[in-house]
Amino acid sequence: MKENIIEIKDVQLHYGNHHALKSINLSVSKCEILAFIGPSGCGKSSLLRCINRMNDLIDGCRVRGKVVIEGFGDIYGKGIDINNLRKNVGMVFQKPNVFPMSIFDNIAFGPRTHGIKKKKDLDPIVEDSLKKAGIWQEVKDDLKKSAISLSGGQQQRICIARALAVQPKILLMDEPTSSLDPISTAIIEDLCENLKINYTIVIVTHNMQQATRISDKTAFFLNGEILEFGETTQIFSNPKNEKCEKYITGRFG
Amino acid sequence: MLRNKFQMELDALNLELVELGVVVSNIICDSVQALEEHNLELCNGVIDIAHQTRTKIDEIEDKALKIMLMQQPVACDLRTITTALKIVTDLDRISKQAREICHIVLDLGENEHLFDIKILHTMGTLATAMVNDCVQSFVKMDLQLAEKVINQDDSMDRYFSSLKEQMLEKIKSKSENADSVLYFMMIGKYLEKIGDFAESIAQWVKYSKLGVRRGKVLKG
Repeated sequence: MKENIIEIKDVQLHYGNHHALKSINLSVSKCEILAFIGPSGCGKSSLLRCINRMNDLIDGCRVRGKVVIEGFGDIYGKGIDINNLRKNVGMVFQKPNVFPMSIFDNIAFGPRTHGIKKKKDLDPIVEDSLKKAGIWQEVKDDLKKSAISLSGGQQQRICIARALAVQPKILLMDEPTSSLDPISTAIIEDLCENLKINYTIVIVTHNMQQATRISDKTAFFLNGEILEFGETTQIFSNPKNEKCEKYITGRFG
Repeated sequence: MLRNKFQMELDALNLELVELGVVVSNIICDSVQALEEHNLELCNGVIDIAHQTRTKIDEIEDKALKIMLMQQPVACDLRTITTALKIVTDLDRISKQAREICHIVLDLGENEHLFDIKILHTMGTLATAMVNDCVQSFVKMDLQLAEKVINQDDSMDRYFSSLKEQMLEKIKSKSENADSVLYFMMIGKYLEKIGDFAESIAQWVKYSKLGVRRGKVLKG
């Protein structure tokens, strides 16, 4: 049995008066892909953002409970270095958000922030990250080119490479392929499969087939609660919760 | 409710499968009766209907495959479609066994009396009941009836073993000519196979309802 890398304990989240997450308890094992599914506004992305404290940046957002991450303890406890947390828990967003700078500088941005300044030290990090993100062959001769000139699918892989460059343990992905074509989606799904050898991935997706294809476990959210959590094959072949079954079979949501 | 079109397609598929099940159930009954009565007219009727069911089976398979392609079903919908595809295959095989039995009856000489072999009569009656029950268990999603069919297959296997022993005795004692023994054994095997396919249908009914296949759940 795999060790847990994330333990979410009785997490409650409010946006002002809105109770967005209600007593969430969840464990995520090392080197597995966990998919969050559920209708819009049910709390998937809110919980995802709790895992690297991205909600801290939202006005009026309050989080209670514990999110225990290996090597950090409770990340909502005192004395947590947020920069170090986000170095270890990287994030990839729905729309590729490359910086308006060269491909090289995009990838080197994180390591530079953490004190690696020399080109000879940065070169292998950039190459390794681009290779892990499956885009090295496509960009190796154009590292000085602006990342903005790349296609949407390539930009998203640059974002993944940028997250990998600071050697995280966990990758959070918030609908990472929703704006991509089927080929780019397939490339990123394959990439996730390769990355899970070394990384733990939590992905929010509205694409049921994507959850089925790539995730080991699935959590079904509704109205700020997790109604069903289990192995993806079980959830998509024989869900126990009636609402989960109705959602994944397209009968509500 | 969302996905009305999908639900209507599933309901239509189910209805066609039920209709096919009733047809196959009837031809098993007829083939056993034809065997008992040496009724050549009934035999030809069974052979014709078995041939027609092939067209119906193709239609159902096409519809199920189209639903899978267009709707990409999961959970209960996936189980319904998978079960439909598996059951239609089993019904096809049952229908073929009925046809083969009738071909043998047509080949038999006037003086052959197969049902002098009492155990064949018992197997024929049991096969008819099993096919009727497995089709009904599917129509009503009746797990108790499905379980009954599954258990009856063990009885069918035991009858077939007894038939083999009896036929061996007949060969040793030379009390029956070789042709007849061969026919008895072939018919016994067809009936035993009908029992197997009925049991398979009952297992798929359980899967469709419970998501458990021969005691196992799907794992990643």
